[in-house]
Amino acid sequence: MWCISYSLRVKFGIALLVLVVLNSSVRESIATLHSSRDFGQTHFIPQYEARFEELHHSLSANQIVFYVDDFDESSDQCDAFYMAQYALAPTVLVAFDSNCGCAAKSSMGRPRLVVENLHDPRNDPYLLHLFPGKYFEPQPRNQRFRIASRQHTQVRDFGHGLRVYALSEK
Amino acid sequence: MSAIYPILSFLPLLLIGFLLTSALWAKEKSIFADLPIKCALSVGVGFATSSCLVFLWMMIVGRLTRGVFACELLLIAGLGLLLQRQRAKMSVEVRQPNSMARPSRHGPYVLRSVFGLTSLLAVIRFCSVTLQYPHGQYDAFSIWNVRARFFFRSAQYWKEFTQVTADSHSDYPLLIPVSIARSWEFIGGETQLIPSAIALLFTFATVGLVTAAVSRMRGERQGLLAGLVLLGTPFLILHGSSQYADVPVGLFFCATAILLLLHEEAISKNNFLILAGMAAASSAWTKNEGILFLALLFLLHPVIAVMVKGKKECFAEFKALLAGAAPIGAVLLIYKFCLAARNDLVAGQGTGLTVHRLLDLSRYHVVSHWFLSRPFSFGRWNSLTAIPILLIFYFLLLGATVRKKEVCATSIAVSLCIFMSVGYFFVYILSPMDLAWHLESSFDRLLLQLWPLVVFSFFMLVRTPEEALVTEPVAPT
Repeated sequence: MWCISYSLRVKFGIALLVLVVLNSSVRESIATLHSSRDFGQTHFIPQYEARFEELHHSLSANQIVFYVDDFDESSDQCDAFYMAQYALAPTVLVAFDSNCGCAAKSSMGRPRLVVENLHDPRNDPYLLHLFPGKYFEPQPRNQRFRIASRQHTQVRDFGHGLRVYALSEK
Repeated sequence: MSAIYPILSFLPLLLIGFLLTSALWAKEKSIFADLPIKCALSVGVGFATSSCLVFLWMMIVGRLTRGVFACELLLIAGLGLLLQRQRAKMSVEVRQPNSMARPSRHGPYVLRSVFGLTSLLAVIRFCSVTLQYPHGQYDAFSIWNVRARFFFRSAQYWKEFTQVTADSHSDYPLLIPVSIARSWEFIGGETQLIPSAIALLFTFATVGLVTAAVSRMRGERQGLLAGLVLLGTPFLILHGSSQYADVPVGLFFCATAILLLLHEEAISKNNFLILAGMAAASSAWTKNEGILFLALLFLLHPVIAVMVKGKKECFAEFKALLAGAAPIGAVLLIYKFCLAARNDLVAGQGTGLTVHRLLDLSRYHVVSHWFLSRPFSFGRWNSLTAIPILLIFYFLLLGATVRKKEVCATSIAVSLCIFMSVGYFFVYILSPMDLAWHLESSFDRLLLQLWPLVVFSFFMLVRTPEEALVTEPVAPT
């Protein structure tokens, strides 16, 4: 009976391991390079950060503000909140009526401003790449904020759905 | 901003890492002995030491300022002097020849070429993913980089970062964000080159460390195979570039095991154990999973060392481990007690709830399913040629061998892999979060943290190609 020697089996085992690794590396490299041919199309976070630039400069460093957006109705849609927080740091955002983020206690005092961050992919098409499509399905707006906002005065409209309101003294 | 600035900003901390590692390395050896291992370790030791220094500076001074770089320079000068004194003393005594096996003239050319090619491809992959996602993935900007921005941008209000991340693991340790902020302060501006370069350094230091350590202890062929297995894990490169802390914590896990094994063959007593304690504490300073690792190391080491070496030697080794872990452990305690919020997984426990989760068999079923299936796919391998399956066949083909003097350290390394997995299992069982979501969002990353340690332990256990080709495994009787 034809028998493969042990040393040949060992050599075959090593060769197989090396070939699998080589194949995996080459395959992954081709896939990665293929998916990243147009680097400019994937810089969506910097694009999203740019919409906060003016607001970022207008807020003082040690400030805490309320934040509301059109995605934060459920707790698992906090992407926009975290990206806004990333862009506006070191201003502390406290999500308004959602579970995205809350400040238990802060030495910065009580928030006096509300940042409203609404998303419209018709004006900013890159938003469709940045957030899951389901986020843009029609859903009732944050009713509590809408009611609350009637009591607030708009301080400034920064464009792209970004507005700042001042909380009433009451 | 020129790419030269990030490199310059890392030089002081890499030098601290190298000098500290060299000062604690086996004294009988030349400063250039085991250079590849030292260089890879310098990345971890340097970032851990520097981040602790910067954190303490921020706590004492009240904000991140450039004064901290004077402290770094003083530390470099101090370590340089210490090393010079050690070397001067050594020149009187007989210095051991470099034990690092020189690459043979008739070395494994094919393996070296494949390793070189896969390394190059991995670097290209890493860079192209980084160019696509310069801000990293979700956790990078929602946890790690946002904190770095806070430390750099907010001056004396930096402690408010705990408010920013109130719902996103505000108790996570600070090695990565402090290191990023430190480099931004060094170059005087924010650039995504810094977090990307830190991710690159940790990813390839991990591959380099495992390759160099296995080569040093088991021969070049075995070392290159270990390195190839890591380079052939697409998720390691992909996730490394995402700027999360899982790859850095994985580096510290395997560094601990490597240093435990290096200790077994060193003449200078316990120096490697001090470094091992440092590496374990650094893992705890990187991510909370490292705290479990540190605790397990201090539980498993005495048990295994007493059984293998006896009480007297075990106690001396334990003291050295503790001495290494204490400084970084102290910084971690300061952070946890003074700044960090309560851990969300701990906060979600209560006697009734915890008992209910522990007795809920459906949770065991779900978690077991993940533990049994994901180890073969977490690396994003081709389903037909998943590397863990190949490694099982490889193990059966070549057989295992452990040198007598390495029994203790190898047992600790293997036990750490097993008990860390058990620990993770019960973290999921007791998780207050939605279990399916928790597993989906974190399980692969936890396996990746352990993967370099598993690969290192595997190639320390399995016979080398040279051993296998000389003698066939003895059939069990």
